[in-house]
Amino acid sequence: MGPDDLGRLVDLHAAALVLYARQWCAAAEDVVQEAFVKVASQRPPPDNPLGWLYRVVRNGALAVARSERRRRHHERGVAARVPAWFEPTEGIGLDAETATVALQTLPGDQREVVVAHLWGGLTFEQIGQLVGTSASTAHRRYLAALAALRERLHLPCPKT
Amino acid sequence: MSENVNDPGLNALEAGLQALTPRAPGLNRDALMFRAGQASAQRRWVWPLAAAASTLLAVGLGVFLALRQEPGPRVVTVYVQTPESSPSEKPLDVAPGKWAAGLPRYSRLVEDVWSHGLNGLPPEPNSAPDKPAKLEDLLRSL
Repeated sequence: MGPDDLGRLVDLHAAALVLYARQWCAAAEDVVQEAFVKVASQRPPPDNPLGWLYRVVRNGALAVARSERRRRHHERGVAARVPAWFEPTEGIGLDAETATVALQTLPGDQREVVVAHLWGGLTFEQIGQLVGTSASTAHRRYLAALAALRERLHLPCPKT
Repeated sequence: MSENVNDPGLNALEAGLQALTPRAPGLNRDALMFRAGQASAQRRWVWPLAAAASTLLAVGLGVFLALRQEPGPRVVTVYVQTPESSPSEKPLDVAPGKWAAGLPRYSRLVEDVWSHGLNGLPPEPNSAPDKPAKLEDLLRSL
């Protein structure tokens, strides 16, 4: 993979990949950086570099999370120390910190689908391949996650 | 599969979430690109291994040649029977005096031609008769 292609991937997808890795581990930047270094040394380069990157980041983040859990003897309050996942926003209906907390309370399989689809831009087919389920299962998890977020964010249900 | 969400409330939530920008990653882009370049240009081990193997082979062969017990020269005598030559295989006598004596000398011939013209040429051995034979002479000879 050439430097131009790699630079484009970094510019377009690094932030979403770091957000994706942050679901599991605190050292998300390290995991993403390693993934970019790995993709640059692939011979031949992967057919779908973005999907490949998400898979490598997922595997790396899960491995780091396991070692982080071993180091920690206390898990209470960890979520409170995790840095905010989003830039502070003003004038948008959703508060960044509130959305971060709401996302963190989602079940992991649902949160993963939401992050990969909304900020990673992956299709449900790609997400299904990534997490090892069908596209319809990924879609169901996505809808369930949105419904749960609506409840946690205390958003009113629209009148039908 | 349709990726749309049919619930308007979920649509609004989806749009609101999507408006959130992921926090800028703390990645050092230049360092990342440098490391990626290093990783992509890492030396492959094929050529160094091949060079090391051929060097070892050359050194081994050199040591083998240096330590080898050199055997002494071996003398072999081979007797070869040659067939006797037949008379037909005798070489021709090509002494220059024998064949050159019967021929006119070239320089003399040139001088005769220059001084007498074509008359200076030696007569042809089988020259044609001056006159054709007459019929009466032929009948008389019968």
